[in-house]
Amino acid sequence: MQSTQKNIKNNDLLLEVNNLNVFFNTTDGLIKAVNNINLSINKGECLGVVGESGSGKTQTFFSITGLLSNNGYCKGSAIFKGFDLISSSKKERMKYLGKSIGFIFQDPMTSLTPHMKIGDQLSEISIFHDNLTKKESLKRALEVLDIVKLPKSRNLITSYPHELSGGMKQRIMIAISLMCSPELIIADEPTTALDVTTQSEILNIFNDLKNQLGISIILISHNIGVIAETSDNIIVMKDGSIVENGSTYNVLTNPQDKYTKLLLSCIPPWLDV
Amino acid sequence: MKNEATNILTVDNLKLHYSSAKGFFSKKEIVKAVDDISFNLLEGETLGIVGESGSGKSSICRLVLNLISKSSGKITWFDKDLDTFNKKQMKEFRRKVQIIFQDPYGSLDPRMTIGSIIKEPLDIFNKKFLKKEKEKIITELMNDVGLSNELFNRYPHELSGGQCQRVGIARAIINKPSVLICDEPVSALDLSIQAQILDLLKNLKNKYSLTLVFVSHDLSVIKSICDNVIVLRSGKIVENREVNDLFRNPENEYTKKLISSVPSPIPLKR
Amino acid sequence: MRLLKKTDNLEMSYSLKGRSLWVDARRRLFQNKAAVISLFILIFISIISVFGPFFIQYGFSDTDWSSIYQPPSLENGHYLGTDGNGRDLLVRILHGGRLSLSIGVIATFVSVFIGVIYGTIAGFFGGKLDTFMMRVVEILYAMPYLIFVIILMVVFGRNIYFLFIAIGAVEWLTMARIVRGQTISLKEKEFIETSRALGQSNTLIIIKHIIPNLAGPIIVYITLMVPSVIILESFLSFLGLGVQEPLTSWGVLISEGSREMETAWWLLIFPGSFMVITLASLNFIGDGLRDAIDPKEY
Repeated sequence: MQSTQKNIKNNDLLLEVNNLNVFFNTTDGLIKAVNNINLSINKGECLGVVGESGSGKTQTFFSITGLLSNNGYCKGSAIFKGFDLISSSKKERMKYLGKSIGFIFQDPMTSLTPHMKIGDQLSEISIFHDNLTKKESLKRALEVLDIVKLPKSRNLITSYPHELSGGMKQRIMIAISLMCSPELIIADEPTTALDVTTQSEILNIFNDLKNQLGISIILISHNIGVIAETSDNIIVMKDGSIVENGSTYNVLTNPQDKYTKLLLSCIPPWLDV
Repeated sequence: MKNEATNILTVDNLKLHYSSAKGFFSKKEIVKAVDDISFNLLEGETLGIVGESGSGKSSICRLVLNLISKSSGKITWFDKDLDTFNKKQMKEFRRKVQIIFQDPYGSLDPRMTIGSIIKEPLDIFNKKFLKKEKEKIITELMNDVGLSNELFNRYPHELSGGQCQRVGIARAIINKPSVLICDEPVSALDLSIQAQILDLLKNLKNKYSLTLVFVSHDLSVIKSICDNVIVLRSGKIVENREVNDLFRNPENEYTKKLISSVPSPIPLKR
Repeated sequence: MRLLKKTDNLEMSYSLKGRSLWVDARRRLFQNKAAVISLFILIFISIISVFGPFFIQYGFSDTDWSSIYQPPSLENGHYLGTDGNGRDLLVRILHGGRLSLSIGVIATFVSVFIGVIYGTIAGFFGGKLDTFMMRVVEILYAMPYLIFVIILMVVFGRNIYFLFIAIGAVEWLTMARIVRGQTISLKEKEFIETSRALGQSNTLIIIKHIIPNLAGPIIVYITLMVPSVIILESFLSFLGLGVQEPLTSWGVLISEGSREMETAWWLLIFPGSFMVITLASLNFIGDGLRDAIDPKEY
């Protein structure tokens, strides 16, 4: 992990993952989905995780946040600000998840409860974690809506998810993860289900979160363009292992690993800058 | 150079409107999925149709194939109106214009073997062929699309997404169509597989002298394979131009925004 | 620790012969202990019902006035005792089993046959035809089926063949609804659309693509419908509308047994247990099949 330590603004270690392994018990036997992964992320840094389907990129971060399905279990450690997320109990972990660590999923259409108003869905989390009153949390909700560049209107707070477009829903998802002022946001394919124009707006928001609020972001994506536009450092995964890591610029302009080279050669030629 | 090519398919003022009632008593609202679209398809070209979700690009594919019926407009196939086709002519048209879909697994019947899936069009159009002949055609075609013959008796769920897409392509071209419509053929695939399928389509296009209609939301894919591009937005054509011309100097504001939104894989030095 | 054993397995089991979804489903079914045990019990009960009576010295209608209401005993050969007419209970249970099981199977197939044809046509062609066909089903649903069956029995007389038809005619409604729903969701699948684009005729699309893909839910539903038909038959027999003496079914036996429960407990307990075991087995098999055929559902 030497190379990841370069070109970052400050050196506060936020999350450190050591020798992480993830297994699944299936009817076909034990499957190893993630193989001995080490990674670290500093404050205010954006880490891009690239890999094709089945590379274990999602399962790595599901295991850290305790989102693995019932037949999965993991070994190793994930130290978040001196606290091991993996060996701790569910109750202890809940103090961090949703509060200091936000999670954003791929599909904004199904990530919101259809029967609850946007405002209620936003305030729910800060009432739970920060013991705010309903009124205070709605005030906070208006603040975060401003951060994700949605109009701070009462209209939005009282509307239901089906009244919003995909891009707006994804912004609401980001807003929910921002409610408790997190230090780390893990975004799993946050723009895959969205159109290109919406995608670029969402990526701008991510850049703002990182640059203005100093929030660390782990961005999981199969789209190298998305990673290139946002992340400082990059991890390339294949079959559950990290094949290459380093600063985004170095890895993408001068790849060392055979698989990374292959992956980059597959990108259709885009406008040469 | 394109001007000399023959015009094989013409679409004039094609519309697909349907009404949706919001409530029992409220007034019906008309949704214009495809709104007044006209374009020509020239022999041998690859026509790209690009648009975001809800722009009506999939509806156009299905309208051209007569899988759904249009509200108004005219589709002409070699100077003949599609509406005037009788059953036999329609069948012949279906043989000449084929489609492959986005979902590689969804477009294959899960209960059929790969061999019988590819064979289906032969059973429809070449009933007189012997079993042996059919098998020979299929195995040759499987080689052409890069599928091992060992897969003949396997089932779709045992294949990878890329392999399934190759099966779909083989089935589409077995009767030597002249037009192949590709509805987001690589969107569900991984990057490396995507490149392979695009290469395959380019090769098959030359080998079988196909005319391709390539529908995608991905501008970089469109740019790498198409000759001419139609940019769609909410059912309307925004721009219809030669591909390099379009990408170098887009005229329409929406096209400009679309092109500038694509994240570049070349990172800025930080 | 083996890395990604799943893909390893795939490579190793690589053969020219494909593994169809049915083979997969069978493998999953045989992993389900409850379903496998139930399957064996069901096969055992069917075999003894069909062949058992040939090996018993008493006929199902032989009366023996010297041994009325005999409790079960090993000495006189009435292993499960006798009824008020001195008839051997074991042979009557087995005979009743023949009838109950065959009513279950035949009536189910009648209803599946009508239901599948009706449902696929309504679902596949859709539009006004679908609306009309489904309104008909809804109207028939609204008719109290018991009265419907009673009328049939009264008009055509108490004939067991009419019993088959009457029950089948009632049960097909549910089948038609299920098949229609499944057909509509299948119709939207891209492989059906491709088939239409290929120029395949509607009839062949239904036969080649729709029905094979409906087979899973239909099979599951059959295993759950057989027990409900057996119960329906018992109910009708209990009311005196079913099978007539000296013929018998489990329902008739239970109905008779319940009347003499206090004096001759065996007349209720034994037929009752046969029926309960059979129905439970069928339900376990149905559950097992559902999980095996569509593993995503649970």
